[in-house]
Amino acid sequence: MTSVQRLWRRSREYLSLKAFRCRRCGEVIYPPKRACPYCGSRDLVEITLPRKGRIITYTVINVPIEGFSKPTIIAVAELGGAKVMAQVVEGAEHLVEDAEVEVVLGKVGRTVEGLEYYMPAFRVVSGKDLKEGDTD
Amino acid sequence: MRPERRAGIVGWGTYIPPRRLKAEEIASLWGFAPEVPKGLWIEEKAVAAVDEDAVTMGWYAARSAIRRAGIDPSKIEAVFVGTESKPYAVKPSATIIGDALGVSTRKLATDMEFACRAGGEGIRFGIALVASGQARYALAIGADTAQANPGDVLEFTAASGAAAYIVGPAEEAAAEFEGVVTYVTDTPDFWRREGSRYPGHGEIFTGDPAYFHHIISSVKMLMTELGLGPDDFDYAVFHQPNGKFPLKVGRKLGFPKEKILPGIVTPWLGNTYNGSALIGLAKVLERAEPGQRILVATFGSGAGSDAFSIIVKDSIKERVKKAPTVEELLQSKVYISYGEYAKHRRILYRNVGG
Ligand SMILES: [Zn+2]
Repeated sequence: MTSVQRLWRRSREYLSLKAFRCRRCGEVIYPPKRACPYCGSRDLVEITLPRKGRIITYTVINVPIEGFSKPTIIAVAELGGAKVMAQVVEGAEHLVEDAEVEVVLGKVGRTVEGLEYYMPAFRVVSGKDLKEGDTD
Repeated sequence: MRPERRAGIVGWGTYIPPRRLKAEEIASLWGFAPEVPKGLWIEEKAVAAVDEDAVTMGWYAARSAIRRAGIDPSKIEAVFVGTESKPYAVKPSATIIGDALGVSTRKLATDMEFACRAGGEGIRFGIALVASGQARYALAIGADTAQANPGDVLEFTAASGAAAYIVGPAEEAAAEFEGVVTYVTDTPDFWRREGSRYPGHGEIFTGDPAYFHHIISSVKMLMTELGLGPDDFDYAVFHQPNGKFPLKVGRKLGFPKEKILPGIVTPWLGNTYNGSALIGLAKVLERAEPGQRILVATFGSGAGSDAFSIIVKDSIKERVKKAPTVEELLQSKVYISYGEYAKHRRILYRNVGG
Protein backbone atom coordinates (compact mmCIF):
# COMPACT_ATOMS: atom_id res chain seq x y z
CA MET A 1 0.00 0.00 0.00
CA THR A 2 1.26 3.41 -1.00
CA SER A 3 2.00 6.05 1.62
CA VAL A 4 0.72 9.62 1.56
CA GLN A 5 4.32 10.92 1.24
CA ARG A 6 5.14 8.67 -1.70
CA LEU A 7 1.91 9.64 -3.46
CA TRP A 8 2.53 13.32 -3.00
CA ARG A 9 6.13 12.99 -4.27
CA ARG A 10 5.23 11.06 -7.37
CA SER A 11 1.71 11.97 -8.46
CA ARG A 12 2.50 15.27 -10.22
CA GLU A 13 5.32 13.61 -12.15
CA TYR A 14 3.13 10.64 -13.11
CA LEU A 15 0.16 12.81 -14.10
CA SER A 16 2.16 15.11 -16.36
CA LEU A 17 3.21 12.07 -18.47
CA LYS A 18 6.75 13.42 -18.51
CA ALA A 19 9.23 10.77 -19.63
CA PHE A 20 12.86 10.48 -20.71
CA ARG A 21 14.22 9.27 -24.02
CA CYS A 22 17.67 7.68 -23.76
CA ARG A 23 20.06 9.31 -26.23
CA ARG A 24 22.26 6.20 -26.28
CA CYS A 25 19.84 3.29 -26.77
CA GLY A 26 16.67 5.16 -27.73
CA GLU A 27 14.40 3.60 -25.10
CA VAL A 28 11.67 5.73 -23.53
CA ILE A 29 11.55 5.69 -19.74
CA TYR A 30 8.39 6.36 -17.73
CA PRO A 31 8.20 7.36 -14.97
CA PRO A 32 11.45 9.32 -15.34
CA LYS A 33 14.58 7.86 -13.74
CA ARG A 34 18.08 9.31 -13.28
CA ALA A 35 19.67 6.68 -15.51
CA CYS A 36 18.39 4.54 -18.36
CA PRO A 37 17.30 1.17 -16.90
CA TYR A 38 18.13 -0.49 -20.25
CA CYS A 39 21.73 0.68 -20.81
CA GLY A 40 22.68 2.76 -17.75
CA SER A 41 23.26 5.95 -19.72
CA ARG A 42 22.58 9.29 -18.02
CA ASP A 43 22.28 11.09 -21.34
CA LEU A 44 18.49 11.50 -21.24
CA VAL A 45 16.15 14.01 -22.86
CA GLU A 46 12.77 14.94 -21.38
CA ILE A 47 9.67 14.30 -23.50
CA THR A 48 5.91 14.26 -22.88
CA LEU A 49 4.12 11.04 -23.72
CA PRO A 50 1.00 11.05 -25.91
CA ARG A 51 -2.28 10.30 -24.12
CA LYS A 52 -3.26 7.58 -26.58
CA GLY A 53 -1.62 4.20 -26.95
CA ARG A 54 -2.19 0.44 -27.26
CA ILE A 55 -2.54 -2.36 -24.73
CA ILE A 56 0.43 -4.73 -24.61
CA THR A 57 -0.87 -6.98 -21.86
CA TYR A 58 -3.15 -6.92 -18.82
CA THR A 59 -4.20 -8.86 -15.76
CA VAL A 60 -7.46 -9.08 -13.81
CA ILE A 61 -7.17 -9.18 -10.02
CA ASN A 62 -10.37 -10.64 -8.60
CA VAL A 63 -9.27 -10.47 -4.97
CA PRO A 64 -7.65 -7.03 -4.66
CA ILE A 65 -6.43 -5.56 -1.38
CA GLU A 66 -8.75 -3.28 0.54
CA GLY A 67 -9.28 0.14 -1.00
CA PHE A 68 -9.25 -1.05 -4.61
CA SER A 69 -12.27 -1.72 -6.78
CA LYS A 70 -13.22 -5.32 -7.45
CA PRO A 71 -12.03 -6.61 -9.83
CA THR A 72 -8.94 -4.45 -10.32
CA ILE A 73 -7.57 -4.55 -13.84
CA ILE A 74 -3.95 -3.57 -14.41
CA ALA A 75 -2.64 -3.11 -17.94
CA VAL A 76 0.64 -2.31 -19.61
CA ALA A 77 0.26 -0.09 -22.65
CA GLU A 78 2.68 1.36 -25.14
CA LEU A 79 2.49 5.16 -25.21
CA GLY A 80 4.90 6.86 -27.57
CA GLY A 81 7.53 4.16 -27.14
CA ALA A 82 7.21 3.90 -23.34
CA LYS A 83 5.73 0.95 -21.52
CA VAL A 84 3.25 2.40 -19.04
CA MET A 85 1.50 0.36 -16.34
CA ALA A 86 -1.80 1.67 -14.99
CA GLN A 87 -5.22 0.63 -13.79
CA VAL A 88 -8.06 0.22 -16.30
CA VAL A 89 -10.97 2.33 -15.01
CA GLU A 90 -13.28 2.42 -18.02
CA GLY A 91 -14.09 0.32 -21.06
CA ALA A 92 -13.06 -3.07 -19.59
CA GLU A 93 -15.60 -4.70 -21.91
CA HIS A 94 -13.42 -3.73 -24.91
CA LEU A 95 -10.21 -4.96 -23.27
CA VAL A 96 -8.09 -7.12 -25.57
CA GLU A 97 -4.41 -7.04 -26.44
CA ASP A 98 -3.70 -4.21 -28.88
CA ALA A 99 -6.88 -2.36 -27.86
CA GLU A 100 -6.58 1.42 -28.02
CA VAL A 101 -6.39 3.21 -24.67
CA GLU A 102 -6.61 6.81 -23.54
CA VAL A 103 -4.93 8.04 -20.36
CA VAL A 104 -7.46 9.67 -18.03
CA LEU A 105 -7.38 10.81 -14.42
CA GLY A 106 -8.48 7.80 -12.38
CA LYS A 107 -9.36 7.48 -8.74
CA VAL A 108 -7.49 4.23 -8.41
CA GLY A 109 -7.31 3.56 -4.69
CA ARG A 110 -7.27 4.84 -1.13
CA THR A 111 -4.47 4.81 1.43
CA VAL A 112 -5.03 3.40 4.93
CA GLU A 113 -5.10 7.02 6.15
CA GLY A 114 -8.09 7.66 3.87
CA LEU A 115 -6.37 9.66 1.12
CA GLU A 116 -7.80 9.05 -2.34
CA TYR A 117 -5.26 8.58 -5.03
CA TYR A 118 -5.72 10.08 -8.41
CA MET A 119 -3.30 8.65 -10.93
CA PRO A 120 -3.02 8.19 -14.68
CA ALA A 121 -5.43 5.40 -15.57
CA PHE A 122 -6.53 3.77 -18.80
CA ARG A 123 -9.86 4.11 -20.52
CA VAL A 124 -10.18 1.47 -23.22
CA VAL A 125 -11.79 3.03 -26.29
CA SER A 126 -13.75 1.00 -28.81
CA GLY A 127 -12.48 3.24 -31.59
CA LYS A 128 -15.83 4.81 -32.39
CA ASP A 129 -15.45 7.86 -30.18
CA LEU A 130 -11.83 8.51 -31.16
CA LYS A 131 -10.92 11.73 -32.92
CA GLU A 132 -8.38 11.95 -35.71
CA GLY A 133 -5.02 13.24 -34.51
CA ASP A 134 -6.25 13.09 -30.95
CA THR A 135 -2.90 12.44 -29.35
CA ASP A 136 -2.22 15.24 -26.87
CA MET B 1 -24.34 43.83 -15.60
CA ARG B 2 -22.15 44.28 -18.65
CA PRO B 3 -18.51 43.39 -17.92
CA GLU B 4 -16.02 46.32 -18.20
CA ARG B 5 -13.49 44.43 -20.24
CA ARG B 6 -15.19 41.92 -22.47
CA ALA B 7 -14.88 38.25 -21.56
CA GLY B 8 -16.03 35.11 -23.28
CA ILE B 9 -15.98 31.34 -23.49
CA VAL B 10 -12.62 30.36 -24.95
CA GLY B 11 -13.19 26.61 -24.56
CA TRP B 12 -15.76 24.22 -23.17
CA GLY B 13 -15.94 20.49 -22.50
CA THR B 14 -18.27 17.93 -20.96
CA TYR B 15 -18.18 14.45 -19.51
CA ILE B 16 -21.05 11.98 -19.30
CA PRO B 17 -20.28 8.57 -17.77
CA PRO B 18 -21.29 5.81 -20.20
CA ARG B 19 -23.40 3.75 -17.76
CA ARG B 20 -27.16 4.38 -18.06
CA LEU B 21 -30.02 3.25 -15.85
CA LYS B 22 -33.50 3.28 -17.37
CA ALA B 23 -36.24 5.13 -15.46
CA GLU B 24 -38.64 2.23 -16.07
CA GLU B 25 -36.33 -0.03 -14.07
CA ILE B 26 -36.40 2.33 -11.08
CA ALA B 27 -40.20 2.63 -11.41
CA SER B 28 -40.78 -1.12 -11.48
CA LEU B 29 -38.39 -1.79 -8.56
CA TRP B 30 -40.00 0.72 -6.18
CA GLY B 31 -43.57 0.32 -7.46
CA PHE B 32 -43.98 3.72 -9.10
CA ALA B 33 -46.64 4.00 -11.80
CA PRO B 34 -45.05 4.30 -15.28
CA GLU B 35 -46.69 7.75 -15.51
CA VAL B 36 -44.31 9.09 -12.84
CA PRO B 37 -41.11 9.13 -14.97
CA LYS B 38 -43.20 10.13 -18.02
CA GLY B 39 -44.61 13.07 -16.06
CA LEU B 40 -41.05 14.19 -15.23
CA TRP B 41 -39.89 13.44 -18.80
CA ILE B 42 -36.98 11.29 -17.72
CA GLU B 43 -36.06 8.23 -19.81
CA GLU B 44 -32.66 7.22 -18.45
CA LYS B 45 -29.85 8.62 -16.35
CA ALA B 46 -26.04 8.51 -16.41
CA VAL B 47 -24.35 6.68 -13.54
CA ALA B 48 -20.76 7.30 -12.47
CA ALA B 49 -18.71 4.16 -11.84
CA VAL B 50 -17.45 3.33 -8.38
CA ASP B 51 -14.04 4.86 -9.20
CA GLU B 52 -15.41 8.05 -10.78
CA ASP B 53 -16.17 11.22 -8.87
CA ALA B 54 -16.48 14.99 -9.27
CA VAL B 55 -12.67 15.21 -9.60
CA THR B 56 -12.19 12.61 -12.34
CA MET B 57 -15.25 13.79 -14.31
CA GLY B 58 -14.37 17.46 -13.86
CA TRP B 59 -10.81 16.75 -15.02
CA TYR B 60 -12.08 15.03 -18.19
CA ALA B 61 -14.44 17.90 -19.04
CA ALA B 62 -11.69 20.45 -18.33
CA ARG B 63 -9.21 18.67 -20.59
CA SER B 64 -11.71 18.85 -23.45
CA ALA B 65 -12.22 22.55 -22.68
CA ILE B 66 -8.45 23.17 -22.80
CA ARG B 67 -8.22 21.31 -26.09
CA ARG B 68 -11.05 23.40 -27.57
CA ALA B 69 -9.43 26.58 -26.27
CA GLY B 70 -6.07 25.58 -27.75
CA ILE B 71 -4.28 27.21 -24.81
CA ASP B 72 -1.38 26.16 -22.62
CA PRO B 73 -2.91 25.07 -19.27
CA SER B 74 -0.09 26.80 -17.41
CA LYS B 75 -1.71 30.11 -18.49
CA ILE B 76 -4.87 29.35 -16.45
CA GLU B 77 -4.86 31.44 -13.26
CA ALA B 78 -8.05 30.31 -11.51
CA VAL B 79 -9.81 26.97 -11.00
CA PHE B 80 -13.32 26.94 -9.53
CA VAL B 81 -15.12 23.65 -8.96
CA GLY B 82 -18.86 23.88 -8.34
CA THR B 83 -20.09 20.65 -6.77
CA GLU B 84 -22.26 19.28 -4.00
CA SER B 85 -20.60 15.86 -4.12
CA LYS B 86 -16.89 16.57 -3.63
CA PRO B 87 -14.79 13.54 -2.68
CA TYR B 88 -13.49 15.13 0.54
CA ALA B 89 -15.41 17.12 3.12
CA VAL B 90 -12.16 19.02 3.71
CA LYS B 91 -9.52 19.11 0.93
CA PRO B 92 -10.21 21.01 -2.25
CA SER B 93 -11.00 19.27 -5.51
CA ALA B 94 -9.80 22.31 -7.48
CA THR B 95 -6.18 21.70 -6.43
CA ILE B 96 -6.25 18.06 -7.54
CA ILE B 97 -7.77 18.94 -10.90
CA GLY B 98 -5.45 21.94 -11.33
CA ASP B 99 -2.25 19.93 -10.78
CA ALA B 100 -3.46 17.03 -12.90
CA LEU B 101 -4.09 19.44 -15.79
CA GLY B 102 -0.79 21.28 -15.37
CA VAL B 103 -2.46 24.57 -14.42
CA SER B 104 -0.20 27.34 -13.13
CA THR B 105 0.71 27.27 -9.42
CA ARG B 106 0.07 31.04 -9.47
CA LYS B 107 -3.68 30.66 -9.27
CA LEU B 108 -6.87 30.96 -7.29
CA ALA B 109 -8.41 27.57 -6.60
CA THR B 110 -11.50 26.74 -4.62
CA ASP B 111 -14.47 24.42 -4.40
CA MET B 112 -17.81 26.18 -4.37
CA GLU B 113 -21.11 24.94 -3.00
CA PHE B 114 -24.53 26.36 -3.83
CA ALA B 115 -26.51 23.21 -4.66
CA CYS B 116 -26.80 23.07 -8.47
CA ARG B 117 -25.64 26.59 -9.35
CA ALA B 118 -22.11 26.83 -7.90
CA GLY B 119 -20.65 26.04 -11.35
CA GLY B 120 -22.55 29.04 -12.74
CA GLU B 121 -21.16 31.22 -9.99
CA GLY B 122 -17.69 29.92 -10.89
CA ILE B 123 -18.21 31.26 -14.41
CA ARG B 124 -19.26 34.63 -12.95
CA PHE B 125 -16.06 34.71 -10.86
CA GLY B 126 -14.10 33.86 -13.99
CA ILE B 127 -15.71 36.73 -15.88
CA ALA B 128 -14.92 39.08 -12.98
CA LEU B 129 -11.25 38.05 -12.93
CA VAL B 130 -10.83 38.33 -16.70
CA ALA B 131 -12.80 41.59 -16.95
CA SER B 132 -10.73 43.20 -14.18
CA GLY B 133 -7.44 42.06 -15.69
CA GLN B 134 -6.58 39.79 -12.73
CA ALA B 135 -6.42 36.61 -14.79
CA ARG B 136 -5.97 35.84 -18.46
CA TYR B 137 -7.92 32.56 -18.24
CA ALA B 138 -10.13 31.07 -15.54
CA LEU B 139 -11.44 27.52 -15.48
CA ALA B 140 -14.93 26.96 -14.06
CA ILE B 141 -16.19 23.43 -13.59
CA GLY B 142 -19.60 22.07 -12.60
CA ALA B 143 -19.41 18.38 -11.64
CA ASP B 144 -21.60 16.11 -9.55
CA THR B 145 -22.33 12.53 -8.66
CA ALA B 146 -25.79 13.39 -7.38
CA GLN B 147 -27.18 11.36 -4.50
CA ALA B 148 -30.77 10.24 -4.00
CA ASN B 149 -32.40 8.22 -1.28
CA PRO B 150 -33.32 4.83 -2.83
CA GLY B 151 -37.04 4.88 -3.63
CA ASP B 152 -37.26 8.70 -3.42
CA VAL B 153 -38.76 10.29 -6.54
CA LEU B 154 -35.42 12.12 -6.80
CA GLU B 155 -33.80 8.80 -7.72
CA PHE B 156 -35.29 8.96 -11.22
CA THR B 157 -33.18 11.99 -12.05
CA ALA B 158 -30.15 12.20 -9.69
CA ALA B 159 -27.28 11.57 -12.13
CA SER B 160 -23.57 12.09 -12.72
CA GLY B 161 -21.77 14.32 -15.19
CA ALA B 162 -19.56 17.37 -15.59
CA ALA B 163 -19.05 20.49 -17.69
CA ALA B 164 -16.07 22.84 -17.82
CA TYR B 165 -15.67 26.33 -19.25
CA ILE B 166 -12.55 28.37 -19.85
CA VAL B 167 -13.32 32.06 -19.53
CA GLY B 168 -10.87 34.35 -21.26
CA PRO B 169 -10.58 37.59 -23.26
CA ALA B 170 -13.42 38.17 -25.74
CA GLU B 171 -10.95 38.53 -28.64
CA GLU B 172 -10.03 34.84 -28.25
CA ALA B 173 -13.51 33.62 -27.41
CA ALA B 174 -15.86 31.32 -29.29
CA ALA B 175 -18.76 33.08 -27.58
CA GLU B 176 -18.89 36.36 -25.66
CA PHE B 177 -20.68 37.22 -22.42
CA GLU B 178 -22.96 40.14 -23.18
CA GLY B 179 -24.37 40.41 -19.68
CA VAL B 180 -24.95 38.45 -16.49
CA VAL B 181 -27.03 38.84 -13.32
CA THR B 182 -27.73 36.65 -10.29
CA TYR B 183 -30.88 36.51 -8.15
CA VAL B 184 -30.54 34.98 -4.66
CA THR B 185 -32.85 34.52 -1.64
CA ASP B 186 -32.99 32.18 1.35
CA THR B 187 -35.44 29.42 0.36
CA PRO B 188 -35.68 26.01 2.09
CA ASP B 189 -36.38 23.83 -0.97
CA PHE B 190 -33.54 21.26 -0.78
CA TRP B 191 -30.67 20.51 1.61
CA ARG B 192 -28.28 17.87 2.84
CA ARG B 193 -26.83 17.97 6.34
CA GLU B 194 -23.23 17.14 7.22
CA GLY B 195 -22.87 13.36 7.46
CA SER B 196 -26.20 12.71 5.76
CA ARG B 197 -25.91 10.48 2.68
CA TYR B 198 -29.03 11.72 0.90
CA PRO B 199 -30.64 15.13 0.52
CA GLY B 200 -34.00 16.16 1.90
CA HIS B 201 -36.42 18.40 0.08
CA GLY B 202 -39.25 20.67 1.15
CA GLU B 203 -42.00 19.29 -1.11
CA ILE B 204 -44.07 22.45 -1.40
CA PHE B 205 -41.04 24.65 -2.00
CA THR B 206 -39.45 22.76 -4.88
CA GLY B 207 -41.59 24.18 -7.70
CA ASP B 208 -43.00 27.70 -7.73
CA PRO B 209 -41.17 29.48 -4.85
CA ALA B 210 -37.81 27.96 -5.76
CA TYR B 211 -37.07 26.91 -9.36
CA PHE B 212 -39.65 29.03 -11.15
CA HIS B 213 -39.45 32.15 -9.00
CA HIS B 214 -35.64 32.37 -9.10
CA ILE B 215 -35.15 31.62 -12.78
CA ILE B 216 -37.97 33.95 -13.84
CA SER B 217 -36.54 36.71 -11.61
CA SER B 218 -32.96 36.40 -12.87
CA VAL B 219 -33.97 36.19 -16.54
CA LYS B 220 -36.34 39.17 -16.27
CA MET B 221 -33.63 41.19 -14.53
CA LEU B 222 -31.13 40.32 -17.27
CA MET B 223 -33.53 41.16 -20.10
CA THR B 224 -34.47 44.48 -18.46
CA GLU B 225 -30.83 45.46 -17.91
CA LEU B 226 -29.84 44.58 -21.47
CA GLY B 227 -33.05 45.89 -23.04
CA LEU B 228 -33.77 42.53 -24.63
CA GLY B 229 -36.85 40.29 -24.92
CA PRO B 230 -37.44 36.62 -25.70
CA ASP B 231 -37.47 37.38 -29.44
CA ASP B 232 -33.86 38.57 -29.28
CA PHE B 233 -32.59 35.13 -28.21
CA ASP B 234 -32.10 32.19 -30.56
CA TYR B 235 -31.77 29.63 -27.73
CA ALA B 236 -32.79 29.44 -24.09
CA VAL B 237 -31.06 26.97 -21.77
CA PHE B 238 -32.35 26.43 -18.24
CA HIS B 239 -31.31 24.27 -15.30
CA GLN B 240 -33.00 20.90 -15.79
CA PRO B 241 -34.05 19.01 -12.64
CA ASN B 242 -36.23 17.00 -15.05
CA GLY B 243 -37.29 17.34 -18.68
CA LYS B 244 -40.53 19.22 -17.99
CA PHE B 245 -39.45 22.17 -15.79
CA PRO B 246 -37.25 23.93 -18.39
CA LEU B 247 -40.06 23.87 -20.95
CA LYS B 248 -42.52 25.21 -18.38
CA VAL B 249 -40.26 28.01 -17.12
CA GLY B 250 -39.49 28.95 -20.73
CA ARG B 251 -43.19 29.14 -21.54
CA LYS B 252 -43.82 31.39 -18.52
CA LEU B 253 -41.04 33.70 -19.76
CA GLY B 254 -42.34 33.76 -23.32
CA PHE B 255 -39.80 31.46 -25.02
CA PRO B 256 -41.21 29.01 -27.57
CA LYS B 257 -40.42 25.30 -27.20
CA GLU B 258 -38.24 25.37 -30.35
CA LYS B 259 -35.70 27.64 -28.62
CA ILE B 260 -35.54 25.42 -25.52
CA LEU B 261 -35.48 21.87 -26.93
CA PRO B 262 -31.94 22.09 -28.43
CA GLY B 263 -30.47 22.59 -24.93
CA ILE B 264 -32.49 19.84 -23.23
CA VAL B 265 -30.33 16.95 -21.99
CA THR B 266 -31.94 15.67 -18.79
CA PRO B 267 -34.37 13.10 -20.32
CA TRP B 268 -31.36 11.04 -21.57
CA LEU B 269 -28.80 11.94 -18.95
CA GLY B 270 -30.63 12.80 -15.74
CA ASN B 271 -30.04 15.85 -13.60
CA THR B 272 -26.30 16.26 -13.22
CA TYR B 273 -26.82 19.11 -10.71
CA ASN B 274 -23.89 21.48 -11.29
CA GLY B 275 -23.47 19.96 -14.74
CA SER B 276 -27.11 20.33 -15.77
CA ALA B 277 -27.54 23.78 -17.36
CA LEU B 278 -23.85 23.87 -18.33
CA ILE B 279 -24.06 20.60 -20.31
CA GLY B 280 -27.22 22.00 -21.95
CA LEU B 281 -25.27 25.14 -22.90
CA ALA B 282 -22.45 23.00 -24.36
CA LYS B 283 -24.97 21.12 -26.51
CA VAL B 284 -26.30 24.44 -27.85
CA LEU B 285 -22.79 25.85 -28.47
CA GLU B 286 -22.05 22.74 -30.51
CA ARG B 287 -24.85 23.56 -32.97
CA ALA B 288 -25.03 27.37 -32.78
CA GLU B 289 -24.17 29.70 -35.66
CA PRO B 290 -21.97 32.79 -35.32
CA GLY B 291 -24.03 35.85 -34.35
CA GLN B 292 -26.71 33.89 -32.50
CA ARG B 293 -27.66 34.89 -28.95
CA ILE B 294 -28.07 32.32 -26.16
CA LEU B 295 -29.82 32.76 -22.83
CA VAL B 296 -28.59 30.51 -20.01
CA ALA B 297 -30.17 30.39 -16.56
CA THR B 298 -28.81 28.18 -13.80
CA PHE B 299 -30.69 27.30 -10.64
CA GLY B 300 -29.41 26.18 -7.27
CA SER B 301 -31.55 25.31 -4.30
CA GLY B 302 -31.25 27.46 -1.27
CA ALA B 303 -31.83 29.35 -3.67
CA GLY B 304 -30.45 31.32 -6.59
CA SER B 305 -30.21 31.66 -10.35
CA ASP B 306 -27.58 33.17 -12.65
CA ALA B 307 -28.76 34.45 -16.02
CA PHE B 308 -26.24 34.92 -18.83
CA SER B 309 -26.62 36.42 -22.29
CA ILE B 310 -24.05 34.94 -24.66
CA ILE B 311 -23.32 35.89 -28.26
CA VAL B 312 -21.73 33.24 -30.48
CA LYS B 313 -18.66 34.25 -32.48
CA ASP B 314 -17.04 33.13 -35.73
CA SER B 315 -14.48 30.76 -34.21
CA ILE B 316 -17.15 28.49 -32.70
CA LYS B 317 -17.32 26.00 -35.57
CA GLU B 318 -13.63 25.05 -35.65
CA ARG B 319 -13.62 24.42 -31.87
CA VAL B 320 -16.60 22.06 -31.76
CA LYS B 321 -14.76 19.16 -33.40
CA LYS B 322 -11.66 19.34 -31.19
CA ALA B 323 -13.22 17.27 -28.37
CA PRO B 324 -16.18 14.90 -27.86
CA THR B 325 -19.55 16.63 -28.26
CA VAL B 326 -22.52 16.25 -25.93
CA GLU B 327 -24.35 14.32 -28.69
CA GLU B 328 -21.42 11.90 -29.00
CA LEU B 329 -21.24 11.39 -25.24
CA LEU B 330 -25.01 10.82 -25.07
CA GLN B 331 -24.74 8.17 -27.80
CA SER B 332 -21.83 6.38 -26.13
CA LYS B 333 -23.62 4.28 -23.50
CA VAL B 334 -24.12 0.88 -21.89
CA TYR B 335 -27.23 -0.04 -19.93
CA ILE B 336 -26.86 -1.35 -16.40
CA SER B 337 -29.24 -2.99 -13.94
CA TYR B 338 -30.40 -1.45 -10.67
CA GLY B 339 -28.08 -3.92 -8.93
CA GLU B 340 -25.03 -2.62 -10.81
CA TYR B 341 -26.20 0.95 -10.16
CA ALA B 342 -26.45 0.16 -6.44
CA LYS B 343 -22.91 -1.20 -6.46
CA HIS B 344 -21.44 1.73 -8.39
CA ARG B 345 -23.20 4.41 -6.36
CA ARG B 346 -22.34 2.61 -3.07
CA ILE B 347 -25.99 2.19 -2.11
CA LEU B 348 -25.18 -1.33 -0.95
CA TYR B 349 -23.55 -1.26 2.44
CA ARG B 350 -20.91 -3.96 2.60
CA ASN B 351 -18.70 -4.87 5.55
CA VAL B 352 -15.11 -5.18 4.36
CA GLY B 353 -12.51 -7.07 6.35
CA GLY B 354 -14.83 -8.38 9.09
ZN1 LIG C 1 19.48 3.60 -22.71
